Amino acid sequence: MNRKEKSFKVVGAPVPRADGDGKVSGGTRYAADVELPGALWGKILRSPYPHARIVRVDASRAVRVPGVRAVVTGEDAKSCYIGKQIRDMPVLCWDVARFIGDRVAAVAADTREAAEEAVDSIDVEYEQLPAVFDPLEAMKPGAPLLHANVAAYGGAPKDTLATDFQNGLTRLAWKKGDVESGFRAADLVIEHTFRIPARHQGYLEPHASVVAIEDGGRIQVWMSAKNPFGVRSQFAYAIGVPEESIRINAVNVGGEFGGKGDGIDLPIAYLLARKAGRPVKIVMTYAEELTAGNPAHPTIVTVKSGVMRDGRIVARRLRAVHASGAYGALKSKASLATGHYVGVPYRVENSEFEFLQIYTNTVPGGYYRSPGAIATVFALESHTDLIARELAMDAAEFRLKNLIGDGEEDAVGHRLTDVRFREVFKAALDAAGWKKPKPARVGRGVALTARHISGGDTGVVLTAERDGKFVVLSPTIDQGSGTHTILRQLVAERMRVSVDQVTVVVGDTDTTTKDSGVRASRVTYVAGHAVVQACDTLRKNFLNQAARLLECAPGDVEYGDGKFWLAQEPAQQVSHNRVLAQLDGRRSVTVYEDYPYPDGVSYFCAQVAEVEVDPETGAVRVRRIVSAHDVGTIINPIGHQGQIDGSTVMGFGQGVMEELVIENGRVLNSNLGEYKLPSIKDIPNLDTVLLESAGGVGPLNAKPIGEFANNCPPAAIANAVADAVGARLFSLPVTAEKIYAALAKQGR
Amino acid sequence: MKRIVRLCVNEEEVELAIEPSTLLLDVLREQMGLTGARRGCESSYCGACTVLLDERTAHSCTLLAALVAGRKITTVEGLARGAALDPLQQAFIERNGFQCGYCTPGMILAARALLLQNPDPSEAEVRRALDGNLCRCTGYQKIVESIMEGAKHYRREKK
Amino acid sequence: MKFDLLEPATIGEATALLSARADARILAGGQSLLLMIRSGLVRPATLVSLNAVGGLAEITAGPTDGLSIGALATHANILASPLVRERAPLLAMAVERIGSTPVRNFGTLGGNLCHNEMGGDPPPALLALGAEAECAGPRGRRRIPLADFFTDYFSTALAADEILTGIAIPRQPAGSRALYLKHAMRPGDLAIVGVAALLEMDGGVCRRARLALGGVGPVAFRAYEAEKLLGGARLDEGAIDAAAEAAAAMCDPIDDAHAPAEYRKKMARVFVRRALRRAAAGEER
Repeated sequence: MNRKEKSFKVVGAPVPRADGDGKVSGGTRYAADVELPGALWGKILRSPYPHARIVRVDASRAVRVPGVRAVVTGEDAKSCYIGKQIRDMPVLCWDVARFIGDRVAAVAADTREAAEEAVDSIDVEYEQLPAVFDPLEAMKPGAPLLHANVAAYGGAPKDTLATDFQNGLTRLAWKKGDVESGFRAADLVIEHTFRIPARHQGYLEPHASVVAIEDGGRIQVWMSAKNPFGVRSQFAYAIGVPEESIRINAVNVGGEFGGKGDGIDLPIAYLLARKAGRPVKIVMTYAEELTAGNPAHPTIVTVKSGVMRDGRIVARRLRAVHASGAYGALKSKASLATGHYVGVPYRVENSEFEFLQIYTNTVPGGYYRSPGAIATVFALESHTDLIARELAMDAAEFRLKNLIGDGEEDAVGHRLTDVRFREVFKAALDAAGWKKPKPARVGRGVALTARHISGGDTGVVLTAERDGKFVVLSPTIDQGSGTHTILRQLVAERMRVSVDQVTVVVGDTDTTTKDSGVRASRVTYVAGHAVVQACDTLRKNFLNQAARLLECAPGDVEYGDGKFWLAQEPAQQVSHNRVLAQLDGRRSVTVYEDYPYPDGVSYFCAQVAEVEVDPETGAVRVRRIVSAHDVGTIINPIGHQGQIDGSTVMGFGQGVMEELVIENGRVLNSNLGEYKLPSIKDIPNLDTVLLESAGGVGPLNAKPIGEFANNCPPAAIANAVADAVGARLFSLPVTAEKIYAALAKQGR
Repeated sequence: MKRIVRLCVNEEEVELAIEPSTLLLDVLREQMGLTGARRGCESSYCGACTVLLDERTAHSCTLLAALVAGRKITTVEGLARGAALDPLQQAFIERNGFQCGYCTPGMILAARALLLQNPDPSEAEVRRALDGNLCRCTGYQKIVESIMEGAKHYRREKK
Repeated sequence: MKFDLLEPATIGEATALLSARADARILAGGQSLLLMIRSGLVRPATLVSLNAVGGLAEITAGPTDGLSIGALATHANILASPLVRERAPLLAMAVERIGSTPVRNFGTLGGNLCHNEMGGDPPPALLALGAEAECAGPRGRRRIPLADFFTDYFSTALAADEILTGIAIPRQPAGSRALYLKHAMRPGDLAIVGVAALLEMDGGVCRRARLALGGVGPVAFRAYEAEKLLGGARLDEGAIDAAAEAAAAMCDPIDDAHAPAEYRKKMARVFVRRALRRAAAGEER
C-alpha cells in the first residue's frame, strides 16, 4: 500500500466498524428476524410450467388446512403489476404464467409448516403453452410470444423498446464513426461469439418481506432491500396506494450484490395481511432464490474487430443478447447499465455497440454487481487475447497499444480525464511477473476493466448533540460494504473530533431524505459528498457563533478538541458546548442533493490470473490473482481491501464454478451444493497493487472500489488457461470438462 | 403431536413444546429468539445457521431439536461474558472479518470449535475447519486473519 | 416438513416399527435424509431414530485383526479412530473427503451407505476393503457383502424392515497398499469419480488387486475385469493402462449438475491409472 502521508487524521485510518458488535454477537437484525405479535408465515405457490395458461385455481382444500388464515390468488390482484421501471410482472399471475417459479397464489398460516402444506393443497389447472428459452430462438419470427403489447405496460421505456424483434424488450446502443468503412480499412477482421450463463448473486440472506397494516391503514414494511425508497414506490404502484401511506423500516441487509432492489413479494404479503387481518412474513427458501430470484442474465455476446497489422484496433461491433427472462421488471430502464463500461478502456474510432434484452420463458434477470460487466468483459477480453494471438503480439503489448490516455475519447464517445489506465496496467503486469518464466502447464492471463459510476439523489441530516457528539441520519443502507464507517470518518475528519464521537443512524422512508439506493458504485461519491456538505454548513454555523462569542470575524476562529479559539491569540477560547448552546435550530443541518453522473471519469482495474492446468483432466487450479487498481484517497484501508478481496473471489467463482444450469426453463441446480460458490478452501492467493492518483469524484478525492475486481477474473482465467495449455473456452464457467473437451478437440 | 423437550442452550436449561419434525434452527429462532443462528440455505451448505453442539460445529438447519435434548448447545449469543466479547468476536471486529454480517456468527462459532481443540492452528487447518461456512462478501482473507488473531488469545487463555 | 419421530431403545424394537409402518424411514445422522425431506423428494410419515439404541457408534477390533464400525459412527468418529488409521487407512482417506466439517461431525457411515448417493466417498473405499454390511431385521441378522449392498441410485439391498447396524472390514493382507483418489470441482463435493485401489504387492508384481469406483454409475462397484488383469501382473504402464481401460468400460454414468456422463467416464480411466501408479509406487496419499 502506498498511501501517502497526508494531513488527514481519521480518513485513511483502519477504523473498525461500529456495526461490528451486533454482527459478531448475533444482535444485528435482518428482515427475517423481525417478530411482530400475531404474525403469520406467508408461502408462495409457483408455476411448475415455463409457459401456461391458468385455467382454474381451486384453493378449497388449502383453506381447510389447520392454521391457514388467508389464501390469495391472481383473482385478488388482477391487473396489478410491479417493476423497477417497466411494470410488466404480475404481482400474482391470473391468466398466464411465464416461467417456472412465476407466482400463482399464496397462503398465510400460523406456522411455516401449515403454510407449506396449504400451498401444496392448492389445485391449479394449467394449459401448457409453447415456450422459448434461448434468446436467439425467441427473437425469431414465429417464436412463442411472451408479451403481446410491451409498449402498453406502465413505465415502458419508450426510447429503448426493441419491439422490432419478436419478444424484444429493450435495446441500448452506442455508435461512433463509421464501423463498416473501419472494417474495410482494416488489415484483419476477426469475430467471436461467447456464451455466459445465468448466475445467482449468492448473498447468504434470502429475500425476506414483512408487512403489517395498522388500524388507520398505514402499511409498515421490513424488507431486505438496498433501496427503501425505490421499493416503496414499486410497492405503492403495485397495490395502488400513495407512497406516503407506506413506511419501509430500516433493517440490515445480508448481502445483495445488486439482487435486492425489488419489493416483488411485498404486494403478496400485503394482500395476505389485508385478508388475514394480521402481519405476514414471507422468507424465500434458498431453492426459491436459485430458481425464482433475479439472477444475472444468460448472455450471448458477438464481437467483431478490425485491426491493423501494427496492432491498432480501428473498428469494433459488439452485440450482446441477454435473455431477459419472463419480465423486464427487475432492472431499471429494463436494461443493464452496460454503458458504464462497454466503451472503455480501448481507443476505437469506429464502433457500434448494441445490447438487446429479449423475453424468454426463464427466471427474470436482475442486477448483479456491475450489471452485465462479467459478460461484456469476458467476451471483450477473451476476444482481445485472440486478436493478439492472430497478430502474433504479446497480449499485454497489444493492450498497451490500444489503451486510451488522458484526455482521449473512449469507444462510445466519452472524453476522459485523469486517465491512468497504462500505469495501473503496467503495475499489474510487474506484480504478476508477466514476463517471468513459468513451469509447464502454468499460464498467465490478463484482463482489464474500466467503468463509470453513477450519480443520483441522496441526503443526510447531521446533528451536533449536546454531549459533543455528532449524529448522522442517513438513508443509505449499509449492505455490508462499510459505508457508515466511511461516513463517520468523514464527519470526524471534518469536524475535528474522534471517530467515536460520530454515530450513524440509518433512517427509514419516514425519517430521512429521499435516496435512490445503493447502486452503481455511487455511494461514497453521493453519500460522502452529502455528509461533507452537511459538515461544512454545520461548521460554518459553529464558526459564526464562536466568532460572535469571541468577538472576531469567523475567518479568525480556529477549532478542534472541543473548543474554538482566536487564531492569533489561542488563549482566547470558548468551549464547544457553549457555542452549541447558542446554536438552537442551526445545530442540525439537512442536505438533499441530486449529484450528477460523472461521465468524464472512468476508473480502472487490471487483473492477472495465474493458473495451472492438468491436461489429463482439464482441472484448473487458479494459483494467484493479482489486482491492480486506480485509487484516490482511501478513506478506510481495511474496508477498501475487503471490497477488493471479496469482489475478486466473487469474480473467481464466476470464472470457474458458477452457473445456474437451466434446461427447458428449469433451473437444475437448486441448492448450494449444486450451485457452487467458492468456499474458504478454494481461494487462490490474492495480491493487490494500489496506484493513487487524482480524479476521484468522491469526497477528498475518493474513488470507487466495490465493483471492479469482480469483473475481470473470468476473462483473465480463460486467457491464462489458453496460455497454459492452448485450450480456448468461449463460454463460462471455465470448468475441467470444458477444458478437457477443448484439449481433446485440439488433439484430433 | 407436540412433545416437551429440555434443551440446554447457552448454559441455560429450557423446556419447550415442539413438533417432532422441528429443526433446531427453528426452535432457536422462532421459540427462543436466538436469531444469531441465521436462516440461509437450510440445506447444510452455507453454514449461516451454525451452532456448537457439545462444542462441535453443527448446522442447526439439519438437526432435529428433539434429538439434541440434553446436549450442550452454544449459539453466538452465548459467547460474550457480560459486556466482554469473546476474543474471537473482538478479533473479527478489529480485523474486519465481516461485511454484511450474515455468515459471521457461524464463522465465529466454527472457529471457536477449532480453537477449543487446537488453539495453534495453521491457516490450512483454519480453512479445513471452516469448510462448512460460506461467505460471499469478504473473499475469506480477513476471516482467516481474524481467526489467526483470535487464536493468540485462546493460546494465552489455555496457558 | 411434517413427520412423527420414534426413538426405539433396541434394534429389535426398531425393526418391529419398520415392519409395522410401511411409510417409516430410519434416521441416522440426518445429514442427507432431512435435506431430502426438506426439498420434498421423500415424504416419510415416520422417522425412526436410532439415537437411543446403545452401542451403534462403536468402532471395535474384529476377531481376526479386522474392524467393526457401528452404523452410527460419525465420519468424525472414524477420522479420530486410531484403529481405523491402523487397520483401514483407506477408509479414513475417503471419509476425510466427505462434505464439510459439520457434515463429518454428524453424518454417519451407516447413513452415508444407506443413502447411497452417486459420488459418495466411503462406498468405493469399503468395496476395495472387502467390507460386509451387518444387517438386522425381523428374520434375524445377516451379512451382505458390500458389493451386493448397493443396488441402484439411492437404493440398497436392505429389505424395507431391515436396518444396517454396522460394517465389518476384514483384516487387510500384510504389505497391501491402498489409496483413494477423488476428482471433484470443490474438495467436499460429491465425486465426479472416486477410485479406491488396494494392491497386494510382491516386489513389482501385483499378487492381488481390489479396485472400486464411485460416481461413474448408478452405484459404486468393484472393477472385477480390471482386477483380473492386475492379479499376477507386473504393474508396468501397459498393465496399468489395460486395467484402466477395463475399469472404464464398466462405467455407466449419467449427466448431473456436477459433470457430464462422458467426462465422468473419461476421468474414471485417468484416475484409475493414477491410483494404480501411485499405489504401486507405495504412495499412500
